[in-house]
Amino acid sequence: MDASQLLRGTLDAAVLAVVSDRDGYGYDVVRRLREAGLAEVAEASVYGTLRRLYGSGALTSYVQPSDEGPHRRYYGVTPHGREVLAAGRETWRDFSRALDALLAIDSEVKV
Amino acid sequence: MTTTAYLDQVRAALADVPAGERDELLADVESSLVEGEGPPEERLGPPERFARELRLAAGLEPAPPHAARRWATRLRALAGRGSMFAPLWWVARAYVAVAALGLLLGSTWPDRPVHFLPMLHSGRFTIAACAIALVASLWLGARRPAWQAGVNVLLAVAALPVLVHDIDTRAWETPPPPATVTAAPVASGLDYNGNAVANVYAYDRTGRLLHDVRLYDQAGRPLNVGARDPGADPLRRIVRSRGGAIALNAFPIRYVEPGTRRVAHPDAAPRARVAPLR
Repeated sequence: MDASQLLRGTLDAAVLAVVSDRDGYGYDVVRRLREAGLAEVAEASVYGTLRRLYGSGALTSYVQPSDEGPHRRYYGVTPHGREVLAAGRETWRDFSRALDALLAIDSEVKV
Repeated sequence: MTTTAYLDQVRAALADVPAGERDELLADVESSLVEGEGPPEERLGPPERFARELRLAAGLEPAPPHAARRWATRLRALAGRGSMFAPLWWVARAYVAVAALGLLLGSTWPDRPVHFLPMLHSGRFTIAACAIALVASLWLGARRPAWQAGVNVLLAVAALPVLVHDIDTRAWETPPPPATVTAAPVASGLDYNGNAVANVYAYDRTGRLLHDVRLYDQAGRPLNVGARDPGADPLRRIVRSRGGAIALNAFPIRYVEPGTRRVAHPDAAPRARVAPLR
């Protein structure tokens, strides 16, 4: 099983989840994803995903002026974004359940 | 590599992306890069690879091969600036389509009513073809199907021979109304291939200059040179026939010295060397 492929398929939901928890800028989102356990996540993937989700209306953005260095662009989740996240949650739940059964993973052991 | 250098390389790798989109992407990247530690290419990998992943995640088109990238940027810049000219191109390409068809079919290009349209089978047919081409072109422009690009390329290429033809035939000039043939003003006197003849020198077969030779054409008309009115050419020696009429067809015409009746140069002749005939 290819972790990077899995990540590519689920990164949208992961990013939406992070941002819906708390608004964040690019590197902040990367950091939180890695802290959550997705150590392999590439920064380029996150920045691109943020941009794309913003373009599709799932995220809103605003610039926060900063004294040290360039201004940061923060992203927040929109109502549409929350819908997408909810749908993503369901998709993942159904999918992981099916795969758990196939791979004969005892779902009660999973944390 | 410094962060700036790294960013520049990433920016270069995204040269074909529209400027606005590219700047937004890079702004996010830049502000995040600032926070990292260590050289960027160690954290993020080679700039080309970073750009490729950025592009992919952002849902952009994959990078065109390197040589084409510069042209893609230029074309995009042109297209972006030219988007307000799109309707003009739609009309122009309809014309190109009709004109190119005319060139292909070897049609004639009549002078009237307009010089820049071919005659496709008949006047009415040509008008219909123009109307159809225009409507089709406008529809294409509005709908923007993917194959419109192919049509544009085809018509842009076809525009070249059309342009050459139009310039060659000066299509923009309204042709002058058919000229009524005005007869050339009749010059009174003798004329040789458009040149007025002021004097005639006749030589006999031995090459000797003849004097007071009277000339007539095939209809018996005297080949007169000059006016009857002596005042018109006061120094001209007047030659009269036995009846007293002035002979204007006696050659060579001689001129008298002013104030006398003596001919100034009785043997004057043109520079032509007249050899005896065989």
